Amino acid sequence: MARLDRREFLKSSLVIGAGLIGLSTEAQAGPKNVLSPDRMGVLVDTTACIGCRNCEWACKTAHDLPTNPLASYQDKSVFEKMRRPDDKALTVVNRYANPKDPDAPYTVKVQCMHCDHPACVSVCIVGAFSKQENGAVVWDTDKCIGCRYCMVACPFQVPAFEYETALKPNIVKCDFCAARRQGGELPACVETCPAEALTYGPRDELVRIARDRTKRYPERYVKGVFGEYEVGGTGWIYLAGVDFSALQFPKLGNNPAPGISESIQHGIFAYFVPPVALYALLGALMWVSKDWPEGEDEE
Amino acid sequence: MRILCALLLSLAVADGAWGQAEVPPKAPASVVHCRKCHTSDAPTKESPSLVKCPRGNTKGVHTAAEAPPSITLGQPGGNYEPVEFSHKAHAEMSEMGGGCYQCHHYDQGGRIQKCSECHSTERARADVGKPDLRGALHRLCVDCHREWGHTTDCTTCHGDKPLPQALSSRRVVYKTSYPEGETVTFLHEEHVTRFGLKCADCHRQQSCASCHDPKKKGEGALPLEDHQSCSACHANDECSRCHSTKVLDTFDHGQSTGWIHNRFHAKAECQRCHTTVGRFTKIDTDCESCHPGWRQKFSHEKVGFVFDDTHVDLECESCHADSAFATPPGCADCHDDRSYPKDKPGRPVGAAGKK
Repeated sequence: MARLDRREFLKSSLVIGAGLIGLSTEAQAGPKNVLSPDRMGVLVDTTACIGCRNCEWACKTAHDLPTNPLASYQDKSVFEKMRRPDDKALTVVNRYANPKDPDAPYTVKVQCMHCDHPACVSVCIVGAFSKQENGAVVWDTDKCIGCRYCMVACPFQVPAFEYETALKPNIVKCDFCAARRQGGELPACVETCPAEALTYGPRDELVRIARDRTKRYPERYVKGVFGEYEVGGTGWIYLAGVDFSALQFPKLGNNPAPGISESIQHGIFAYFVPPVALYALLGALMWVSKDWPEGEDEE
Repeated sequence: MRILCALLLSLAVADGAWGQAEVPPKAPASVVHCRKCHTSDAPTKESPSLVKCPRGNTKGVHTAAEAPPSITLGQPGGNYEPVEFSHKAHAEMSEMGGGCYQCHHYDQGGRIQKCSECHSTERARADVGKPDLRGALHRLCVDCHREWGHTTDCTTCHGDKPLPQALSSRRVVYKTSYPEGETVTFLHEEHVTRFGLKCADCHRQQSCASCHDPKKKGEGALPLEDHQSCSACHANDECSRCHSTKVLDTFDHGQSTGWIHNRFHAKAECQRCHTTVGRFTKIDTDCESCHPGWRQKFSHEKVGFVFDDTHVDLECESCHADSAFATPPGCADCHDDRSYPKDKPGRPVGAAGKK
């Protein structure tokens, strides 16, 4: 009898344990965002990029940002230092050494990766950020309160803050040319790229194409497609001829960036735990510090 | 059901055949049989059922001579001006490398396909598996040009920059193990300019960089491992023709053959006189051998000198002894007190007269 009880106990505890694990993994899967299977993305083939920086010019022109004439972008001296996208430039191209051929350095375009599970969307306390069905991660300037949580949360450190006017906060980053695309146009950078190092298409299709290229040209590409799995998958994915770490791609796990923080937040707030715990704590404190009648003690 | 399927299939095949009939007459459908590339009789774009590419076997179907001299790439009105692509020059250069197939990579023999037949002219398109036309062209051009030019500047092709020239040597000096003359001087410039040799006549399987890359200067020089490259023309020559103890100077027609190329002859193409095909053989130095009946037609005025009445009826040899027309004439045969050019038997005309 006792043995059977033990077995029953083990069984039931296993079931409960499994349930708990199931719960926790579900929580870590990040927000249940509506990822459209037709969401669009861009495949950046860094081996095809020629570093002409026409994308930088096209981006600024499309977003009404001040820019020098296109001819000035031929200046390659800007590659001497690493640049990050900021409020003046939503995308930049950086140059990296090519160990296989020092005369043919790699150039890599940097911009918002348009994550499938964006940390900026998760972290935004006023809900200004959103992942659209067309794949773009966009934000509403009118809602933004300038807390800059998105800047901290982004695993790629993309969102930039425009400091010019103190009372009118303005977060800036690549918006995947949401307005242009609604009008049936291509993203400005994709349209202008002379070598079509930027391929615009359905994200799932691009992953297939990218994988196919690495298989067909193993001497040209390293294995793997950056962004296929990283932080749960990104809308912009990359192919490279050298290890991605040599191109300063961050080493990120495959779990969605918001996963951990959300599971903590959601876990704490599940089943009214914090208010109940708070009242219980307060109750306990009251009970402990209650001024008990002295007579009872003497008894 | 099977019969119906077969009927449909045959209809589809027939339809395909009709489609092929519209191909320009230059490429009759019989040149390449479908089965050469496809394992099925009804290949589709989605499942083309291609055999392993037999590209290697079909090389040499086309030559650079068929290439159009130049084609315009791009449209006016863009951010950059269209590029006038010197197609023939590139085709001729490609004969030193991978041939037409370096760029026309999916041609299976027969008609050469235009790039735009596979690569879409639209960037916004459904099939993004292969680059669009603009992307494909830029990748092709830039891959080679950056290799030897070490730049990806747009103005390399877009703009009025002069065309890059090959880093051609004037002469190449080889050291050999031949004891009686270990130095072989190959007069590269002479062979190209005077003897009309094409680059591809000698240079094979070379990269663009070996002739165009300033950093790889000299790498384009052919190794002198055997005599093959030279023997086509020099098969019957003595060893000493090429092997010497010292570095030879540029070819001098007067020094080597005793026939000085001066004035009019200096401007003449070699083939004007050396009419034998292949290599140049010694020809008769008598003027008559190239200019039959010249004495009757010749007017001395053409060389800038008109005789006075005393000299006009003289024979040529009276002054130009031994038909040595290149050397200045003497007066001593007839006159004791006269000498040329101090004393003249007439007056200079034309350019010579103005001096």
